Amino acid sequence: MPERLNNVVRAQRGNAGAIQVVSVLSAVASVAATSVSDPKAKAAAALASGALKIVADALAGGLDPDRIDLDQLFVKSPTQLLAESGIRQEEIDRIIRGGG
Amino acid sequence: MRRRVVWLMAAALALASCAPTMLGRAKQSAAASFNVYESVTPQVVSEITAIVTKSRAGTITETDRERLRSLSELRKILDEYAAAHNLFVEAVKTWEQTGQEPNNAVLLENQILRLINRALDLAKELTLAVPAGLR
Repeated sequence: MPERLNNVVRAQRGNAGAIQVVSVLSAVASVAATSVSDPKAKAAAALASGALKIVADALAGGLDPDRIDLDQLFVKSPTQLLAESGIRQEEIDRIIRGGG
Repeated sequence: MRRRVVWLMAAALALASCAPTMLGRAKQSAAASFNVYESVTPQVVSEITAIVTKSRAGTITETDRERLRSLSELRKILDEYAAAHNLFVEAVKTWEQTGQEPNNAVLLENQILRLINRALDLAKELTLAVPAGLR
């Protein structure tokens, strides 16, 4: 697990113990099951159901919001990371097509 | 009777003080999203790098090429995920600084959920390691 993740998340687990088995699919299904057609209302239902909160609990045994540093949570995309290593999208596409 | 009501009110207040606020929950969501993202992305980047290196050395196989195709699909989803995640973190940061919930916070969180779902499906197909709680 990356060091940065250790700092942000793992350190906050404390003695929370074993990670619970919680399915993201069930959380997403609860959103899809809502009969509301308005996307914003559906999204509100998702937040109300605490779907990502379920994920948070599953992954970190309940994080203390006061100890979460948002500045540490920004991420780089895989394309950015690959580009930093000198691998460009075009090269990947060429390899997939069968070129060297 | 009055003593019982007072006791119940004290218990309710204690419970309410423990419950995370909406902002607190959004921060937890951002951290969870980060956790999922950081568990999958380094594996994808590392495998793509290894296959590209093999290609450059002229030792790539058809199996490698097929895997690169699937990894590249997952990479595109993770690109989208990274963008949505960063927007969500930015929105929650604004929320924390101003005390005002941004209009797009809920929509972004919903979008992240869909992307997590797609990314984990593909990651499982590729037999990548995913967080224990999400297997």
